[in-house]
Amino acid sequence: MLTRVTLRSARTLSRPILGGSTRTFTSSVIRRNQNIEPKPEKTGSESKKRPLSRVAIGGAQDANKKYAETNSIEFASWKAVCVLLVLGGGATYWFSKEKERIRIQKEVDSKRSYGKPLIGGPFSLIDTKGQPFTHKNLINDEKKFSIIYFGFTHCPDVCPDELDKLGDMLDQLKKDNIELQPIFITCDPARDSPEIIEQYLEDFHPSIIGLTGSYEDVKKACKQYRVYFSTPTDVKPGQDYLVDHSIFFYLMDSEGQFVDVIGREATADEGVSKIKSQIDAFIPQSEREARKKSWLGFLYK
Amino acid sequence: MGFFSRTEEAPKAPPNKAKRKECWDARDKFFDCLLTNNIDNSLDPKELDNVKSKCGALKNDFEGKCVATWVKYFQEKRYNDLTRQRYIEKLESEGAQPLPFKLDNRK
Repeated sequence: MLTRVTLRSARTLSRPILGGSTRTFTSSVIRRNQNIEPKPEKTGSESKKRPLSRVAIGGAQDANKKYAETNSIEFASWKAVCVLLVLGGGATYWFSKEKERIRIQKEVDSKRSYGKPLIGGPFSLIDTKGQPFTHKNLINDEKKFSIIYFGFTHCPDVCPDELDKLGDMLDQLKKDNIELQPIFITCDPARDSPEIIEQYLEDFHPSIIGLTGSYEDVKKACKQYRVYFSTPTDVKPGQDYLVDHSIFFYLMDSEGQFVDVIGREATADEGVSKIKSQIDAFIPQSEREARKKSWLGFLYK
Repeated sequence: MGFFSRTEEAPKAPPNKAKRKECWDARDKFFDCLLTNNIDNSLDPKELDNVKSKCGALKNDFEGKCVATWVKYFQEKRYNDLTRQRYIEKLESEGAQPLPFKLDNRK
């Protein structure tokens, strides 16, 4: 009997090596040894009763089970599904975001390629401190956009509402660390002196820059922004009157170029998301040119 | 147009935030009264007596708290808005569909 056992263990030695894992091999050897001794432990009653020759080499059932348990590479396991969902979802989100960005960039680019901007242009006014403020003040290197609103301080309901909305938008953007240069340009230079504008704007947001100037300068600035206003012609000094004017917020990029308008029907939240997406899609001119020249340039055409 | 000069009189300061609120509140009360009394155009000379007898006190309050131009503007605007709203309702009752998109379609 002893000789048979040694022979068997020699066979088990050689077979499992071909089969694969060394662990099954060692465990089976131990099992064999245990089988020799008269106190079997967990090998199970089945193998105890059967003659050794019938026991499958490598302790078949047990070894197979182990193999299935430890190896987690299965095609439809829940882990694989999770990984797929997370990666797929992430990629979808990223691509859709990137697509939107490129769409906005292309749109802004197409507006740019008309040559002359439709909206915006040189103007020369003074701020509430009496300092000159021109279109050059819109240009900066910090990617700081400007938002321009035309109105007048005697405005009954629309301008105060819109300026409140502007204040809300500025506060919301500030929470996300986005700074804008808000500008209020009066359409009523006759009554809106720098002091009056300064006082008026205090009610809305401390950062709003109020601009005024001579009637001609204001008219010129309004024309650049396609803002039309009408002051009644027969006004006597000191008389009260209203001014009709167009109501839009003009969003200008940090190169002083027009990018978008925000109308009266847009809520503060909608305005904020519009501004954010525009700022996000903004690429400075130097970068734009470098991009077109690079070997990936065809992507942006 | 451009001959307006501010040499003769110091320009009047515009109503500030508190004043605006006061004016708007008075306006809303007056307009509520007009609504309950079914008065559409409070500037219509035919309606003036009606306005005076039913919402006279509120009208005086409104006129006292708002600048004259605003008083006129708000009443005109109310009438325009009402007319517009009724027109839209009329069109809708006749089966007109609102545009399936916003005119500013790039929200």
